[in-house]
Amino acid sequence: MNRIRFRFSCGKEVRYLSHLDLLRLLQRAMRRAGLPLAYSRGFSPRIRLSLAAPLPVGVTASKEYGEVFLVEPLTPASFRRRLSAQLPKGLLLTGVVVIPAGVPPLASVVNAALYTARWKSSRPAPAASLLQKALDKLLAQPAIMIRRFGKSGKMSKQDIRPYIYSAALLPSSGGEGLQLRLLLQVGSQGGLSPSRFLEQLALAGDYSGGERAWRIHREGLYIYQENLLDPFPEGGEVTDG
Amino acid sequence: MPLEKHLEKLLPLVQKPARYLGGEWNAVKKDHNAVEVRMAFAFPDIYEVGMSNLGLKIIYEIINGFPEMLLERVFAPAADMEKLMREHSLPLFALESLRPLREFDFVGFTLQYELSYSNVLNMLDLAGIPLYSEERGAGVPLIIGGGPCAFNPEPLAPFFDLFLIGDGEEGLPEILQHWLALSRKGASKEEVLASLAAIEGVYVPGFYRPRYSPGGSFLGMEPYHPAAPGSIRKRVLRDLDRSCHPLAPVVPHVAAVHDRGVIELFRGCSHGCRFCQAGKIYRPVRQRSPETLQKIAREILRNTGYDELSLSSLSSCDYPGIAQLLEELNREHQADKVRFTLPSLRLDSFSVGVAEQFHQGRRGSLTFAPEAATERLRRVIGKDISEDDLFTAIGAAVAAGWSAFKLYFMIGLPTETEDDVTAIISLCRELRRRIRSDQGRWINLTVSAATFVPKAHTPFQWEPQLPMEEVEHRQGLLRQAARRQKGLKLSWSDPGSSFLEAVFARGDRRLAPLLERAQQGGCRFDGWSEHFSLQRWLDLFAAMKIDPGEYAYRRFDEIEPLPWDHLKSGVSKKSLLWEYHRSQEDNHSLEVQR
Repeated sequence: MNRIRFRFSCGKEVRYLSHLDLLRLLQRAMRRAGLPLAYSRGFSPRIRLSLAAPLPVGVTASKEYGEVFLVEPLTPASFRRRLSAQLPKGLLLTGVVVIPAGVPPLASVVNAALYTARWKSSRPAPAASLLQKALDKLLAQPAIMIRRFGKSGKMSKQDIRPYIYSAALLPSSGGEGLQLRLLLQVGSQGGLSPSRFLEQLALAGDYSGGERAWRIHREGLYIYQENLLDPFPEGGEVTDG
Repeated sequence: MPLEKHLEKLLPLVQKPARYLGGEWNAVKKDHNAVEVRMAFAFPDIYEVGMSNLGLKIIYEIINGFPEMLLERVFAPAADMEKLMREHSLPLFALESLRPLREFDFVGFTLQYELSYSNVLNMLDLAGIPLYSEERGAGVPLIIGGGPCAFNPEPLAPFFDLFLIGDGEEGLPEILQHWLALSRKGASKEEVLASLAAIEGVYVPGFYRPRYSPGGSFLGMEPYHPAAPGSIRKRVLRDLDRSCHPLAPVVPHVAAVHDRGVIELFRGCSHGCRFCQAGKIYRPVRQRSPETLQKIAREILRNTGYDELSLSSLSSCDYPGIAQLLEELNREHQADKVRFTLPSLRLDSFSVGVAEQFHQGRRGSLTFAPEAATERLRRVIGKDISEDDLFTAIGAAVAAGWSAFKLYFMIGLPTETEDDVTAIISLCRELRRRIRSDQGRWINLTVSAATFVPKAHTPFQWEPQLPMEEVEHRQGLLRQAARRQKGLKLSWSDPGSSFLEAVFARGDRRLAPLLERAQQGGCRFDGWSEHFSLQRWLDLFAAMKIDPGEYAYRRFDEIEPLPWDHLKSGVSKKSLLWEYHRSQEDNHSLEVQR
């Protein structure tokens, strides 16, 4: 079985697609591309495609990852050429690599997402000092309890503090305005969406302007152990864009 | 572009923003300045519903195939989006260019369903386009309507500049080309309409005046413009096999209601069900050859990447050689795991051969439409199938692996008695028992009981609808009979919305001001139970002093003129009447036999 990992960016044209919309879109693009796709068994065979971590709706991204199984080997260059031709505006394939057997699936190892959030609301942004204070206050809390709807629809309380790896205010540079950089946990071990974080930040700083006041961009997904590791294995056959 | 900036702010606030952005695969984006005819195809329901419509796919590909024309899509914004658009004075815009509808030359509404009329007006209002044709001068798009409801468009007549009755494949390009030639010459709106009125299938409602008796009876439609023909014959596409079938339909970003490819096997239906409007207005039967269909299927799958393809028509099992076609398609696309599906099936033509061709679609349920549960009532409505057909068809399907079925019935059919209604449940019980004893398996049935709505251009167009209270009573009988029945699920339609549907299906121009008031009063998405309010409509009728029962509950006199008499479906009033009488005779002879 041939396993291919690919990297792509999501522009503003596709940022409102849900995770399922995006999966469906990629599956159809792969079918149009005529890739030698492997299917799951059973009555309703499915393409064995997975994405590293769902991208929140409304968020653009630079480096997203997916994996797909093929029944025949294909060079990364050929995979890329064929799939690229079938992607709509806003989706760009930026790298492809063949993954050897035995490597754990991406979705099980990717656990960190790096976001930048820029103030976009027409309302004036809170002062940098206020924001810094809010950040300090929020991060100093040993636990940040929020209400959450569980899968069964029941409301439960959850501590999101462990999901915040880091959060920092970037020094504003040349007309860039206010910018936050957030490293948050994602994945099967639990995670936190950037909008939820911004909501909590607004509460801590007591200013108005939750998630909707910010434009959020996901810079990348990582395997975070001691360092941030890029999901593209070193030495792999990468075609970069 | 200011509209785009606005959208950027609003879209994060609404549900499923991708409905309003376009940019899907196969979407055609043309430069407005590089073409000479700009048309917006307006579907008066949300994106997910509209994107499932075959007519849209056909027209989209045909018009965009002309280098001098463009056609873009627009759907009814959902309530949350509409609210924001109104708050920010954002005009309704088309998906491809994000341009306001006002900037187009044509806005074409497809009229699929009477309960979407309030959405039609609301979309015009949201677009900042005056509702009434006579209020729209030069520089405002021409408003054109088509689709099944255009066969009695009278309740909408004053809002539209023209309707195209019948097939749009050839008629619409002809209209647009004609308009282009005229607009180059600087023709006035009246000159344009007068010239378009000569095109086969075109109905310019403003050229006709209804006459009423002092007592308020409709006396007929009078052409008063020299360019207006006495009657309008529907447009018929002669050669379906050689006509354009959409090959690269837009692949929606947000999952459509029917999120799959579709090929149209044939148009029209050779059966004579007396309640069925589609069976009359889509005549004659025109087929595509198996070779053409296989080519079309190949192209669509290659251009869209769909893994499901629906073989569509009014009665797909009637396609000669359907089993062989399915077999060929399955063989060709097996490796790509494509699933082929059929919409609602006829019981008498469903065979073991067809059943065996569905190797992959078996998980779902199959849909059949017996419509009525007793032999007598089926004879009356012209549904020429027997109980044996039902047992044979379901038996074949069960043998091929299915275990769940959906059965469509109607309540309130002419001559229906309470026994006919409860017979629905006894028939289902008997069916389950038979299958169990023949094949050792229990099947699951979902029974859907719609309410009969008399429709224009059918033999039952003279028939009254069963009063709402009585419909509710019979639905109650059905529920009672179905109580504690295992393996049987029951659903029914809201009697209020069926009533409103009947009012507009047989309505005339006097309903137009009411529709205007309804739009102003906030009526939207009347086909959606969560938005529909019968009381709001009843209040409107009362305020306008219109008796809706005159339209829905009255038995129309056989000699009285009907509001749609000047629109010719191809089936004459005489033969409809003959069929109507025959249904009464059928009933009589069957009752005598008993």
